[in-house]
Amino acid sequence: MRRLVNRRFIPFYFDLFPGGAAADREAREFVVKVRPDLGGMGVATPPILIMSPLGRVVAEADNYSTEDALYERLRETLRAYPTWNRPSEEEVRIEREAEEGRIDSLLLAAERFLDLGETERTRAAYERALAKLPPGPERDRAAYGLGHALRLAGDFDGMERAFARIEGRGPWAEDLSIERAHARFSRGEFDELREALAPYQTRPPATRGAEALYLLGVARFHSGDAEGAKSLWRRIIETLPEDPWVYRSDWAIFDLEQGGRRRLSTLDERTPLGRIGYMKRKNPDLAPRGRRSGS
Amino acid sequence: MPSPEGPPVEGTLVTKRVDPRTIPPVSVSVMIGCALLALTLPQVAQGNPLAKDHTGIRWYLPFRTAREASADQGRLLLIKPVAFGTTPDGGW
Repeated sequence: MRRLVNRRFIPFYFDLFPGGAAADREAREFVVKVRPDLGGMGVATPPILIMSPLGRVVAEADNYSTEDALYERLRETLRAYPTWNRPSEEEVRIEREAEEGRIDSLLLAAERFLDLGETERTRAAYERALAKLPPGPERDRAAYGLGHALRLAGDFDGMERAFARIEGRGPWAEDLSIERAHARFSRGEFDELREALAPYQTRPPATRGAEALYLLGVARFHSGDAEGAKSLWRRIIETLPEDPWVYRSDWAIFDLEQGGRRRLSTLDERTPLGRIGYMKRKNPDLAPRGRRSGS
Repeated sequence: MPSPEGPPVEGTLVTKRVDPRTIPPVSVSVMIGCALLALTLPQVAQGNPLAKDHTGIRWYLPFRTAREASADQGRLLLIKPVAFGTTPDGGW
């Protein structure tokens, strides 16, 4: 999602409280002019505002959306307002070079299509690159990229076919394991998920360790071992505090320990990350789900 | 399914910039008081608030910079108002 945000939006944050460390008077005036309700004291969690530079609110996104839901909201907005969705000069050049069959541009174009949610164009760009690349690390990277894109699209059989085209599996072993873990999670195959990720409990992957431990925690939770799950999520927060997966871990722990709370207060017990709660939203990864067959 | 995360994208995070014209005049006693307070702040207060941001998002700060970039680049502003306070260094 961050690539889409960086490509198509100008991200900005500020503290609504005028005396806050990240207060910004101009931003406050700009926002309160169109959303006066955000100008009072003690406002509820505001939404993420998608605005034109002239001050028109084009769309809003729930501040507590899942990343997938926020991503889709951003893409919907871009589809609805093509004026704000024009490719940059660099993107135009890359697309032209991709059309001409230049391999590095094909790979960059595939990433761009993936960011914009254009699965078929993503697939086509990767397939063209794969057809041109000789065996080797670059070709393996393209095959992995294709499999990853298909996994995000929910085409798990296609994902496996793409991964089967990777010849040098060694460098990709951990990534493949985690990509397949996501597929197992989506299918509700929690026993298999737990077994597949169990080795990572003692030795997490170097680059996607928090993600692997988080998923292992989810597998344990759905297998009835809530304490084991919480232990893994706490470990992520304590040992990998700067990994994006700490937030989802914190949310999951909050749901299990304090999810029944009807009201939130700054006087209440905090989450492991020091938050007062998640505004009654439930972490969707803990929702009951049955085993699903096929892709 | 849980949100996917890949390797960070290339790019430099925009750091907060303070326009000296926006800093009001203060008395010497207030300055000394602030200096003492600064010494008591946690370590996180000493650094760039975005240094711990590993999301890879390139924030545009302050707002004037963001708004100009929005107009110049033809991109929509993605504004996150923070309602529950920011840390002493401006993060949240």
